[in-house]
Amino acid sequence: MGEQWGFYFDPNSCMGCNACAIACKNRHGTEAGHVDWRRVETVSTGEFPDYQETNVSLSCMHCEDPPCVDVCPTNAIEKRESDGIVTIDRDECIGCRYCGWACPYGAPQYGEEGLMQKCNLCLDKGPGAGADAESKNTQEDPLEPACVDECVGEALHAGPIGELMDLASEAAARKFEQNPTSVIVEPQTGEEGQAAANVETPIPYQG
Amino acid sequence: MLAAESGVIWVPRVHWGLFIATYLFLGGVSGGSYVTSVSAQLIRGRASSDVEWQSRDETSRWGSLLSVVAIGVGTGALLYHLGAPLRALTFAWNFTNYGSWLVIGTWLIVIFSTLATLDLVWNFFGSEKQGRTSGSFFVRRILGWIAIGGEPVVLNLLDRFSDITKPPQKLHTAIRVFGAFLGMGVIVYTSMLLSDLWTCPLWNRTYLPPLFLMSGISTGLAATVAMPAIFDGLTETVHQYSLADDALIVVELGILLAFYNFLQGRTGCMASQATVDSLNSVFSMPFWVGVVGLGLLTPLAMSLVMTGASALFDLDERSHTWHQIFRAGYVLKYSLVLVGGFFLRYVIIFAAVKLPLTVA
Repeated sequence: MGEQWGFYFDPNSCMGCNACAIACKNRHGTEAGHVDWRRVETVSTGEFPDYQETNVSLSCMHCEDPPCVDVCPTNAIEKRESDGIVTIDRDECIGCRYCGWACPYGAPQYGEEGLMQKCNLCLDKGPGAGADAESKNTQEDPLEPACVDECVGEALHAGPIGELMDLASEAAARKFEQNPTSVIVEPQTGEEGQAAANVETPIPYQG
Repeated sequence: MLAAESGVIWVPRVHWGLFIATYLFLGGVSGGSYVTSVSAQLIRGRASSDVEWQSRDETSRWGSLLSVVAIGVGTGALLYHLGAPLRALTFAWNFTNYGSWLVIGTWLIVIFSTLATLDLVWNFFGSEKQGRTSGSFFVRRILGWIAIGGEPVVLNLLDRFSDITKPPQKLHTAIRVFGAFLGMGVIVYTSMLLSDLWTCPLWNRTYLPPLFLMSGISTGLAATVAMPAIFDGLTETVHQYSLADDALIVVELGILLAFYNFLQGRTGCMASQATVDSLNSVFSMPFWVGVVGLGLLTPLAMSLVMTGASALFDLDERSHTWHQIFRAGYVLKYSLVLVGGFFLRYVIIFAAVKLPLTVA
């Protein structure tokens, strides 16, 4: 099993400019409007005077045990052993959108043709590209994800998790250990130096 | 689109629409029709008169026909929703994830449909069925119009096929009973497909399967028994099935209200509260009026009134006018059950709220 790849995100450096989302759209030529492989959310917490806004850049989290993979009838979605990137083989996708319901992050997107597309950590360009690409670990010069390339505040990084951990604070690393995704998220540091915000994976609903 | 609220990110969820709601509804009707069909055959021998025997015989055949029509149209609705429907038709070698309820359900539907279609041929065709004219045999009349050189080729072909393949009566009945279990499997599958996902509180594993099972059998029964009521008039069988449907409706209503109460009680779950809010605002019409009012309470009330009235008037001796009024009443009741069943699937799909991402 090759080293797992993922993202590192620091909301403290994110100004919410959406450059990451636009860069992603540009590189992959995704449809304008409702197809967003990456999106930026501004989340407000607290009330005045303890009000705070956090910008969160979200895409496929390349989960450790992706629920989209579990439900896909044709096994078109794969969690690659070689680099941990979750890919979609659009030649196998039937466009049932079951994965859309299964994903807690809203990562699967559907264009006009109705087939699934989502972030492939820039294994290759375009919807569905990269499903059969060589492992990021063995590529000579792996493509830098467009979102990372264009991030103005250097809030986003991508790479092998081991390398990304070098960027992470102790709190972020601790949080990541309990996290079922391949995204390291830095806790937001409030004005008084307190860890104030972190994106939480929803707890599976149990009826 | 995403809506940002205090501390949470609501995740977009508009993945399925009317066609999937229709598919889930018709899956329930199909399984329920088949169960009704088999039950009518099993109680046929205990009919009190020739008229009742005939009514149960007709009910059984209508159920057989409707189960195939419903699953056929339902599958069409599903295929229409898909991005690549032709790929789905190659499910036999394409659907390789046997842990997915979509795959389990596909096989259930395929086996059930095959069996129900074979059964339909045995119930409507064969030399012993020639010359039959009761309501459900309109199928034979229509196929009889397809003629080449004056010969009804399709009808003849189906008659011959039935004569060759039809098993002995006891085996046929055993196959039908097995088919009824498959039919219930199809109904339950439509709920397992949803409740296998943990992202939406409305797709609850505890409440949804029994709710869909009751609703599926109830709507299948309603569709099936409405047919002899429309084509042949009112019989004791129509009335008895109505009472059976009432029992299903009462259980369904109980499950639905317990489910609503459960969601309302989960005060710590934002998605549960958002679901309840939407059931009382955006979806209040389809839920409270469509499902609860028109689909459950009104049919129950109609049945109470008609049963009470039947206790006062002997069905056979009733005047033509009363007979027609009761007949229309039962048909309306069964139609409302179907309307409610559809709205239930509509609400379950459209009012589902995903657990939000929280910023702690």
